[in-house]
Amino acid sequence: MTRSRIAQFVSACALPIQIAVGLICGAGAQSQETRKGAIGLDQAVELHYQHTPLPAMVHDLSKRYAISILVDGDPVIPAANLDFSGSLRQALDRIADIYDYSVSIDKRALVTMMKRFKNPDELPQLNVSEIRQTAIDMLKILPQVPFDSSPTAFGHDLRGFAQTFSPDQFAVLKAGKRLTFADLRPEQREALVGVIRSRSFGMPASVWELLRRQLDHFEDSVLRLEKTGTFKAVDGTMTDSYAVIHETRGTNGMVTKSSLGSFQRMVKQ
Amino acid sequence: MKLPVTYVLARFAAAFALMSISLAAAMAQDGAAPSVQDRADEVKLDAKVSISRSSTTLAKVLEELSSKTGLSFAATDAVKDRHMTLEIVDMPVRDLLGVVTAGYDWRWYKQQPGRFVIDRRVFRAPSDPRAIPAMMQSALPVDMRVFLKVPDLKTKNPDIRTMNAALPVMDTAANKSMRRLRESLTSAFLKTDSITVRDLTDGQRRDLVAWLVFDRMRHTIEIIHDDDGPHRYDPSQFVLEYHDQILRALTGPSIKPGLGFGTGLFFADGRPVPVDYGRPMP
Repeated sequence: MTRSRIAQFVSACALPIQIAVGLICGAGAQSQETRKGAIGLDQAVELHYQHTPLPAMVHDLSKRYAISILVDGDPVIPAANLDFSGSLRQALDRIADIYDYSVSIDKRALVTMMKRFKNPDELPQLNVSEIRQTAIDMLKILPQVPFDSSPTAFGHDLRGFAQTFSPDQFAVLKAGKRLTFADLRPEQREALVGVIRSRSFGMPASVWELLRRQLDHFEDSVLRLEKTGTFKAVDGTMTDSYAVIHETRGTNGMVTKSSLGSFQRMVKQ
Repeated sequence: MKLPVTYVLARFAAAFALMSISLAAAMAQDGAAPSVQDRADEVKLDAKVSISRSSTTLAKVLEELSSKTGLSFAATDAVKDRHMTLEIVDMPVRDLLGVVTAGYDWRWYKQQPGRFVIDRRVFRAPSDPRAIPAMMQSALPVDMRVFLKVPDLKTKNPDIRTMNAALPVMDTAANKSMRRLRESLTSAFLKTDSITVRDLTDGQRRDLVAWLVFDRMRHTIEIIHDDDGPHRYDPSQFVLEYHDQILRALTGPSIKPGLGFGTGLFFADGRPVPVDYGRPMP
């Protein structure tokens, strides 16, 4: 081996061996750290908060007891009072309960607080870009089937399938007997599989496809009134009725409309 | 302090395996040693940081992490707006990234030397259709999974329709959001026929998104909960029968009678007569 090859060899080995030695030597240290985190949560604490928001409580606990905390989102309840005496772990549970969160503790002693949605006013975050990507991912997961925006649209395919039955197959069914998959002709089996796939995945795929379109260029989408009629009351006053439409235009120019219900406006005379 | 023997043995085995692999790789390698930048990144990832951020976004947390470590951290569009409060005390950067991404079921990876990215997991069509419900659950943001009361599919009783618990929650969210949005827009709609979403308040925009999301979610929730439905049926196990004047597709002779779905077909003179759903029987 030349000197440069030796240097290259040592250089390549250095980092993995460092990590390996760390694995051996760190065995005790890691365990101690985990135990320390666990012990820290069992220490006795006394807390008194007046009209304090959740982030402020969490900040105070982290500073006083050197614990790491992740809280997802912001609670609907803006602030709360708390007088508490007990363990730090119990305190976290109590605070989470007040703000409608659940608590979990990672092995590295990170306290994670996620919403539990017992409060009916709480909603998930619903960030547009995240939900849009969720819709795109759902469409990747679901089998590709014809767009089906109605829960009963698959019935058309089913009827077409049943029209292919021979008189003998009908006779079997009329006699109260069953036709198995094996009793069907190959094209009938294919049709039945298609019907089941359409029934299973057509509607869910259309839900996510519609949501993806609705959230495309969301900031540029509009809420628009579309006139549906005019009504005249006995006293002569006139009211225009409108549908409230959410309208978005996709990259390909396709317009997607969704109705939010109706709206009335008096006609000026 | 006494450590479990299996734990220590496992760590020694892992270390031995790693050393063996690295030696073999070094023997075989031809100039593929980790770069100086790579090693510098590793050292920085092992450095401890403290972060205190209230009611912020992931993007802002990563900005602070970048300035504190000298590395570059970024979030993709899909996750950058996630709101959080983060109080981190002396935690290695690597662990911080690990716990945050694990909590949200995301991933983090090195995009290029010195630059790291947090993103959603990658999803693709499963080869086995039975994996679809679990994958759809994984594709939902974690808070949405809790909100929609998605069950643990490893322990779920297949006879219980858990989606029934989610339906009222979704309907309430959709109806409340729509009502609140329409009420809040009343005065604006008295003056104009059209409002751009970017001109809505944060609350109005949030209500609009909630309505768009939950209004039709009921049509996809059955699969997400993996409740009994056609997506669970194996076509090769299907049997067809004529029952109560409806041609029924069943999931198999050994499965509960009546399980399946109707075709909307009635017999007249030995031939099927198609009828539309919702119309009276001929």
